[in-house]
Amino acid sequence: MTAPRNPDWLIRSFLEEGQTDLPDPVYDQVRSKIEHTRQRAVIGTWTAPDLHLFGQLAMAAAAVVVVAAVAVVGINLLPSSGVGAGPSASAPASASVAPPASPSPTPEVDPYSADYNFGRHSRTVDGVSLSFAIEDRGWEPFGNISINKSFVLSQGAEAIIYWTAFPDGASADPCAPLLSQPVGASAAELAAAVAAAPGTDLLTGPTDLTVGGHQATHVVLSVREDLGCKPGFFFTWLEPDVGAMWNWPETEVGNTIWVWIVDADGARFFIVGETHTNVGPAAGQQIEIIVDSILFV
Amino acid sequence: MQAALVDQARRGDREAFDSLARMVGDRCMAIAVRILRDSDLAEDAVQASLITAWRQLRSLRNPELFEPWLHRILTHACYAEARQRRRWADGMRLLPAQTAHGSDAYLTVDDRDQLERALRRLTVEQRAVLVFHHYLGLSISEVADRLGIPLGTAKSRLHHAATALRASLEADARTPTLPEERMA
Repeated sequence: MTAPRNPDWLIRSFLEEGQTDLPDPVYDQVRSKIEHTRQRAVIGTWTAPDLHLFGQLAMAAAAVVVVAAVAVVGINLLPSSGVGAGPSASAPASASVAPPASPSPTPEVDPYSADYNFGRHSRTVDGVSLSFAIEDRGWEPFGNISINKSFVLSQGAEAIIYWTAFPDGASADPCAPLLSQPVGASAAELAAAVAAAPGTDLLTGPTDLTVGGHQATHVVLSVREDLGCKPGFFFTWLEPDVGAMWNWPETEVGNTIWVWIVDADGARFFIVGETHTNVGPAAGQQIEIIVDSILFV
Repeated sequence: MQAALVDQARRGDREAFDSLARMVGDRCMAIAVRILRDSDLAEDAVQASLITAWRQLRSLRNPELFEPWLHRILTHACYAEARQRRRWADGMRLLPAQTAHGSDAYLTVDDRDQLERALRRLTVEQRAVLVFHHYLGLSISEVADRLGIPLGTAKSRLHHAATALRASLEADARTPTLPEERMA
């Protein structure tokens, strides 16, 4: 009794042949390698239990963000030493044009992919209400803290935008040994300090432009060296005991950081986009498009 | 069990990740070697993907989905190996002609030669779809999801790959391959 020569059957049979064991030395090499490889912190504690905890963690994180934000305003965040600080009169690299008024928000996310649907989305960050447009596939929200997109790995979050308001009067201690000089209260002073952040190269700015029709200052940096900020992030702050902040995107040498400091009716609103080195220029362009689309409600 | 190890590994437990790697490594190797058609390249791809998985593990949303997530990383590692090494055109050694269960009577040496040659002419992306569909037994929509590609792209790649392989078998029936053509 013989089976018919079915091509698909032959193909399957052929694919069943061949090696199926990974040699032990490969396991050993992997083990050796990960001994010296730090896990990358990325946005989100993605499991269901963690998402359940997220409400609590987000509150703690938000508190830290607010506290840390104030540090940028008044205390200890960014020194004036470093590269190329100082306001620039050069033309804006991505001068914003105020988007059309009265956008109508669309449903938030695709239920299957958890990505944002195309269209305009709203959120309130530290009391500042805003909306922004998503025109590219793959951006997803992470609470109110950030939005992110995975370009390379399925959940790599190699590009992110995160934001916070900066109320005056509080303090924090971000990467304190490195960031020692007080920063003035104005957006321009904050931008100048950001432009001079240690361990970075200034790519453009500070540049005056508008975001959502509001005056803003824009700075673009490249991370030149790892200065050992704990927990390894550039624009983040103390790692709280509750553990929420470890899931901020880790800043690595070579990353590009876009900063917009917006005067939102007297409050400084701080927007940061960051991309990893393993994504191309499209990631940065998409970040700029999203920020350019922001409207403050 | 696997999800528990993933959870431990996400917290930085290297022992747990080592156990996890040993749990899934053989399957990864089986996939990689069939996509790449080269054991050395496959080992490199699996090693790279496991290290990437360790590094990116905290970004995994659902520990239950560790293996599909790893397979996508692995597939990209295979693409990278294939493009970086460029060993396809010359000097590539074929996989040993092991015999699968019950297939020996029907899958002839010439079949294997023709299929191997046809596989090597496919793009690595087409081979990946073929392997996930025919070797892992995933539906084409599952393949698309696993590889992170549109369904239409997956269908197109599978159609092209399957057509090429079927044609090679038909050609085999018409044009016998000389034994000395077989590569060592």
